[in-house]
Amino acid sequence: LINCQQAKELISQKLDGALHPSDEKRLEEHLNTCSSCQVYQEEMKELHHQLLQLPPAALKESMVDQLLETHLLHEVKQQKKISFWKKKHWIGLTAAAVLLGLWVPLYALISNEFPGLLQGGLKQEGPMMASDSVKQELEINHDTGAQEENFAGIMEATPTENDPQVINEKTDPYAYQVKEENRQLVIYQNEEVIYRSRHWEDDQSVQWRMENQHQLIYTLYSSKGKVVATYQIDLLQKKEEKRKE
Amino acid sequence: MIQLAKAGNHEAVVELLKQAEPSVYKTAYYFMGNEHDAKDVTQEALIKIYTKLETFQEKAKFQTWVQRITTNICIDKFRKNKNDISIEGSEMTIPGFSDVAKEVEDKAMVEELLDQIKLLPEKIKSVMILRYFHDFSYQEIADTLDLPINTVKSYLFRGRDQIHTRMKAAIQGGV
Repeated sequence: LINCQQAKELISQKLDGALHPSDEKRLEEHLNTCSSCQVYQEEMKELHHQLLQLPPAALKESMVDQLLETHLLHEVKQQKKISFWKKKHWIGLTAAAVLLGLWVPLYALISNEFPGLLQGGLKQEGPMMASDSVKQELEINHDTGAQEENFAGIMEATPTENDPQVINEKTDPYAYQVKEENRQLVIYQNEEVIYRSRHWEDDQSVQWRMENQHQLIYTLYSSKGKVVATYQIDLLQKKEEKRKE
Repeated sequence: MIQLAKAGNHEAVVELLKQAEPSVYKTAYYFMGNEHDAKDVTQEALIKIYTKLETFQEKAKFQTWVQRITTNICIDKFRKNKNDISIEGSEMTIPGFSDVAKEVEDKAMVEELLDQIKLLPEKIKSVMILRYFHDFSYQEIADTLDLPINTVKSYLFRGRDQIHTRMKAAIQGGV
């Protein structure tokens, strides 16, 4: 014999049409003697029916189309390609460094004289390659970057940990660029999308400002010009939260 | 088509994303409980599907994989939102319901149900959404959420039972 709790669990499975015949029999036996579980079963059937009847949620317009229109998918792919290239390149550099580290002493031993010219050449080769790679990378960013008119705030930022070489690149300090695109703020760093804010509603407008080097504040206004909410984005953490003002 | 998309065929990718989109939004909408967050989740999920497409193992079902990505994003975002004050206009609006007077009662019931779904613990909510809005089998739900089938059964029972108890309490409370 089963208790009420077990009976209720079997009633749930019965709704899914997944009840084993032996369990079905045990449930029937219980229901024959328990009126409260009979009521529970009827109410559950009704709830199940109501849940199945819930209207489907549907988008009014395709977001895939929006993503394609704003070229976001293309941008994501570009970012992916660049980061893949970066990783691959660093593997190459590491491998080169290991090889150089191994071969220089070996060569010195074998040749039995200090090959100043060769060693100097080898010593320089590492840093030269690295710095070239950074230049190339920056060029990639410049090539893909667009010169938008609504380009807004520029703030200098410290380079990310992934790009230690950039510290020595005086020519192009990192900068944030903020644009309004498709009811959200899109923040770029060196022409790459690094963050997208929440979407705001159709009838809302936005004002934003850089609060400090890595913090952007934006306020949403209703069509009547009333403040709806203010959010702050931490551009290093790539997080946003509502400001409790 | 999945193979074409994985090989980088643009039309196939777009077609695949458009196929995934309605089910992504449906999950996002019922999970998050408002259109605004549902759209954010949908955008993030579509981008993730796009960027992770090459890692998709075809032995899995595409819809299962899509729902796994979507529910994970929903859970993350829902947790983040918990620390946030709810935004204006975040209440559930009922899709596909006209304002005909005779439907008012149904509408109130639907709103109550959607609110109750929203209040479920995240894993139970995921299971309920996959069962009721995607008609997933126990096995498909288990595959999507990486849960044993018995846990899926148990979560479905707990989800239904919680909604039932709370709705009954609301009615008895004379609302």
